[in-house]
Amino acid sequence: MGTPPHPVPGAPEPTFPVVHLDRLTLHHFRNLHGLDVHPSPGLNLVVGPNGHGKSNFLEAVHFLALAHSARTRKDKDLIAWESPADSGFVIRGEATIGTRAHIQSLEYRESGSRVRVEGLESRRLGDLLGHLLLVAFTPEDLDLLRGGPQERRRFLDVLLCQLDPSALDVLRRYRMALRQRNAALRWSGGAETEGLLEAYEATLAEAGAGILLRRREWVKKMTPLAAAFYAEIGGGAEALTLGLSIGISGKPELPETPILLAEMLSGRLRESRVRDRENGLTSVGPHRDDLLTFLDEKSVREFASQGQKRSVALALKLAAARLLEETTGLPPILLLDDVFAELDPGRRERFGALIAGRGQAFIATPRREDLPFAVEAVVRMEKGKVQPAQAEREDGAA
Amino acid sequence: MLSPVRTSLLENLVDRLAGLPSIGRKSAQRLAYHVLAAPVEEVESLSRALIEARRGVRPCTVCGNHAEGDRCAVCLNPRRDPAQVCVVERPSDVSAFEKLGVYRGLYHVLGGTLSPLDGIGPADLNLASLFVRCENGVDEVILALGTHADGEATSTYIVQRLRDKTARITRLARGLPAGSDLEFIDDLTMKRALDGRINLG
Repeated sequence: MGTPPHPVPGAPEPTFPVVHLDRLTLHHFRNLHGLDVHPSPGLNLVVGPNGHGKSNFLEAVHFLALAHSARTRKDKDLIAWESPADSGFVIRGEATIGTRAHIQSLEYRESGSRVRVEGLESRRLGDLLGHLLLVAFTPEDLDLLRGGPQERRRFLDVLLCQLDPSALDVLRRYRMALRQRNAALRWSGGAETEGLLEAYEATLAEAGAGILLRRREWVKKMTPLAAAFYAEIGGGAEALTLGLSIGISGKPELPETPILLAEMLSGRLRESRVRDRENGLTSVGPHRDDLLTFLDEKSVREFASQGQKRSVALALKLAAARLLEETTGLPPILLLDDVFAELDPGRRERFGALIAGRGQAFIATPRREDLPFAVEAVVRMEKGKVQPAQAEREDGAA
Repeated sequence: MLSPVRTSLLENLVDRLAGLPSIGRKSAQRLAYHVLAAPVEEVESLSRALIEARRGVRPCTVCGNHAEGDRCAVCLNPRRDPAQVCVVERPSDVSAFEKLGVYRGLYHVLGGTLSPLDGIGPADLNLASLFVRCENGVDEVILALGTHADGEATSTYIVQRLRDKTARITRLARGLPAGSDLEFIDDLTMKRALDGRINLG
């Protein structure tokens, strides 16, 4: 092993593999502009008055790593209001991945974005995914257990793309073919329609099989981890189990190989053509999958209390982080936005113990005394700016 | 810096140039200033070239490629093999193949791919003439469309229609990029490379 190309100044050479952001610059992102931060490779506490940009800062890190925001689906809302016409926001990160220096950045514009990863340019935001491994804990995580299945599919798919870089292409091809088949269902070309449907069903079946098998594999691997984390932080005696509800009616046994599964999907798509044309929507396929959670075999969504849901959400995210670490050998960057205040002191303590010392984290909290551990660095935000005392050391070394 | 004073004629020129693909506002401005500084004759010959090309170049009646008469240079070449037809999306794909200098057959240019979302169905592509062509003395149809979802769907559509009508339908190989290590190849590419393996002996 050679020495890393850019060792972190002052820090001992890492003895375990790492992913961490060493520098983050932001322009026109919500209320943040001209920000240039050098975070610590350990725990970073983001402090400042409410509304001054703490969560926005975390959101920018999230967007750079995962190509979407956990808080909004309208990416253009992230552009600062006062920025000039047709300008967008810019996020750039310099990081260390394993022993490599890594740079990725994006320029988001409504008229078309530009992404750069390690010098390779692309117009697709998704190409950001899979490099800066990251898991976020946010107040919106509760939506995983309250909201509709699309939040849960997104959680699974973002994890999939981080675990297995080939998943992104399969998801893209599936999404495109699905939109086209739906458009073909509403096609008024008479006899042409059947040919069009068949043309897109071939791709849908092939990509769909790839998605289903990947989701099933990773949900299976995530289940024991989530159960263990729930037992550790939940405090209750219930057992957490996960399941994948597949988007094929009758929930048949799935064939093991991608080729047989694609044949099955293709058959189901053909059978559903008449009904699908009536509804103008495709009724079969992984876009109808759902991630199910149970406590003692009772649906969390329907029967669990608010507190139990919160613990299940934490367990899911912790399991995702551990799965990433076990699969890639790299502990992901963690984002913790306002999660400690919601927990009782016991859970806070146990959750904190699972997080601390496992790599880089960014933590925003309105009350510092809620934190169950000491931090390595403080990023102080005021009026959308980082204040000069940004690298104040907690232990009094500065 | 003060922004330069712009007359409306200049502004119009910049707007027109910026409307061209892959020309941004800044490049458009640079081109416009270049045009203004150039001798009038040069600009006249440029504008003549634009109009003549636009008026004089039409789709080939056989294959849909760019042609200056009824038929394109490839279709007119008596040394090309009419029994082999390579199906591509656009005329620029023909140039990409021609640059190789190894393909001896003819082409068929579809003018795009299927895309029901954009209202593009089979009737909006140059497909009907392909099917007619294939009924007369074509031994092999080579599908050379993009590997995106629409390219694949268009290939599937053509295969449905030509199966039983043509001796051979082939598709460009997809697989391992030159100079790559197997351990870094994703599953899909691996599977395609395995499906598309070739016989060596």
